[in-house]
Formats: sequence, C-alpha cells, structure tokens
Amino acid sequence: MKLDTNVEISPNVLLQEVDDETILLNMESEEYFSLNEIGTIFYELLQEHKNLEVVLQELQNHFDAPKEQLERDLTAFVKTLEEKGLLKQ
Amino acid sequence: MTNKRYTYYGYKLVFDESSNADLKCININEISSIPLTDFSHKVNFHTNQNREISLYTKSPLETFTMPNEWLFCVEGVVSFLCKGDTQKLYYKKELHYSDTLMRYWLIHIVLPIALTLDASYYFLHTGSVNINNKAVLFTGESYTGKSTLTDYFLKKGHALVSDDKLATFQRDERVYSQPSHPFHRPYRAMEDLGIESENFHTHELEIGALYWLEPAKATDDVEIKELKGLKKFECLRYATEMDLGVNQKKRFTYLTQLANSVKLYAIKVPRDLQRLEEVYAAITTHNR
Repeated sequence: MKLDTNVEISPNVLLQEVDDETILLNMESEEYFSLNEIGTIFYELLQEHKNLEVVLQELQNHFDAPKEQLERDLTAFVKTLEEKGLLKQ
Repeated sequence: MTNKRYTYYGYKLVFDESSNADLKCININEISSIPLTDFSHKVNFHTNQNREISLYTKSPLETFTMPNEWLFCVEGVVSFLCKGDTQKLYYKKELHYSDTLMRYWLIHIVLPIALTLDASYYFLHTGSVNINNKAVLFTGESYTGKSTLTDYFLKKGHALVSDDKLATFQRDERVYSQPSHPFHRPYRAMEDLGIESENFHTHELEIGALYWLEPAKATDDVEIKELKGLKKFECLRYATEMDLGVNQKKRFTYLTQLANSVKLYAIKVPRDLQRLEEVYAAITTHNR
C-alpha cells in the first residue's frame, strides 16, 4: 500500500466508547468491532487526516517506535478496516 | 377485556371506547376494514408461534420516522393498524380471531413494535425483578433459565418487572426500566401470556444490574464476574429485542450509553433446581 493514499472512513460506520474500548458498528452489515486504546488513536487519526503519509507523521508524534514499525502497523490496520468494510481508498 | 389495574409498558389499555382523557393510555378500537394504503415495504418476521407475521410500512424502516402509518398482520387471526398515533391503534378480526389471541399478540409483540417505532423505549429480552428498589435483569441465551430464575424471585416475594420484553429508557444519564406487563410464564406454551402476577411493579425503576446467565455443571460453584468492553456490549446486543432496523444511529448510541451506565455480570448458574436458592442468595447479596 502506498503512503500517498487518501482513505475515507465509511459513512455507514458508527463509533462509541464502552469502558476503555471503542465499538464500531457497520450499519450495512450490522457487524460490530472493538478497538483498544491504540487502535482508537489510529482510527481517529485516519478519520481526521485521511492521507496515510500525514497519519504516519502523526503516529510518530504519538508513539515512541521506529517509523518502519509504525508504517507496518498502519498499513495492516488500514487493510483490516478495508476488509471489514469500514474504510475505503 | 384487559385488567385496568395494570399498565402495559407504562400505558393503560382501553378497548373499544371512543375516547379517554388519560394521557398515558393506548386506545384500541375495532375496524371492519383496513383502508387502502400503499404499504409498499414489508418486513417478514420469523414464523412466531407457528403463525406468519409481517409488518408493513410506507417507507423502508431505515428511514422510517413517526408519525407514520404501519400495519402488523398475524395471518388469519388479526391485523393491527396505526394511522400515525401510537396511542390510537385499530384491529381487524380475521377468520381465526379470538379475544384471547388478539390480546396475546397485542401485548406480546404489537405494543413493543409500536413503542420501538416511535422511539419511546429500547427493549431488552430479560426477566426482571425488583431488588431493593432497583430493577435487576436476567438475560442470556435460550434455555439458560431466565424465566425459571425470575419465577424463583417472585416466589421469594420480589415484585415482577418483566418476564420477557423489558422497556428501557434513559433520563438524566441514568437508565430506567418501564415494567412490561403483569404476566409471567415459567413454562413454555404457544400464544399464552402466562400467569397474571399479583405482585407486579407498576412504575419505572432505575436499572441496578444485569446478569448474563451462564449454565454450569450441577456441581459447579455459583460465581459472579463483571464483564466489560466488547464482551459487555455483545451481551447487551444479544439481549436486544425489537431490532427492526429503525433509528439505527440513535439505538446504537443508546446501547453504548446503557453499557456505560449499567454494571453487567456473568453468573454461573448450576444446572440443578435444588441450587437455585444459592443463586438467589448470591444475587441478593450482590445487590445489597
């Protein structure tokens, strides 16, 4: 996946916090998913910035981890969201 | 036809009378024919009590809002019509009509549908009783003993809040139950509301706790463990009744607010009726 890609969270996705988790509901499929605190940060940055390169820069500000690892985690996260119909490029 | 001492999901039911000044009542009047209306959207329910039942609306439920007309049909028995006002319902007798069947379908299904469509309540499938002036809810998968446990609490003198569908709502960041109806059915029977309880709690109650019943071996200990996060949400979602696809965003928000407002516990219930007293003691002690 190229980093100069813009992504968009599906408008059919609803998000609410329950305890320390974020619950996502895909209204089309009626499936729901849970994000932990780190996943929630990834998700909110994608929602705000859309461009993966910008999101990666923001992640570097949030986490003390090598850029390569954050990039791998980000692309894997985006791929999972895409597969679940929660996000599109 | 129906005992006026009681309320049904917070409303008095008034049958075949022209008007009633009571604001918290639902009037149900007979009509001889259903007006020709373009009910172009049909929701088929699973066969219920061996009857075909369907809900008809003029727009898809995803975009449905009240006031709006809807029609609910129990094939061959009775049809219920709403012309836009939930507090004025109409019924039309079909070939196999009886007052008993009409009453069953009205109380058991039609009123929860009506009060879901107009967003009055969020319904949960739970047994519920009054413990120390809080509604305590029992839910779980089929055949986990919700009604049996509810019945045990009734025999111990606790007031019934609901034996099946519980109306819930939020006010001032607290979640309340609106007692459903005075019937409980600690047995399985077709098109049967059950036994009328003399000890029915008739007013709204704050929800104190919700227990997810987990069947355990007859020799296992009774254990209570709090559930959080996704697991808690999943249990509440499973317990959701009347999920018609209407008001999806509002209902999802409500469900998460419910999850954040009410404690939910998994309780291991040994498969031995002789040990219900232990389950009863564990729950009452837990809610002191």
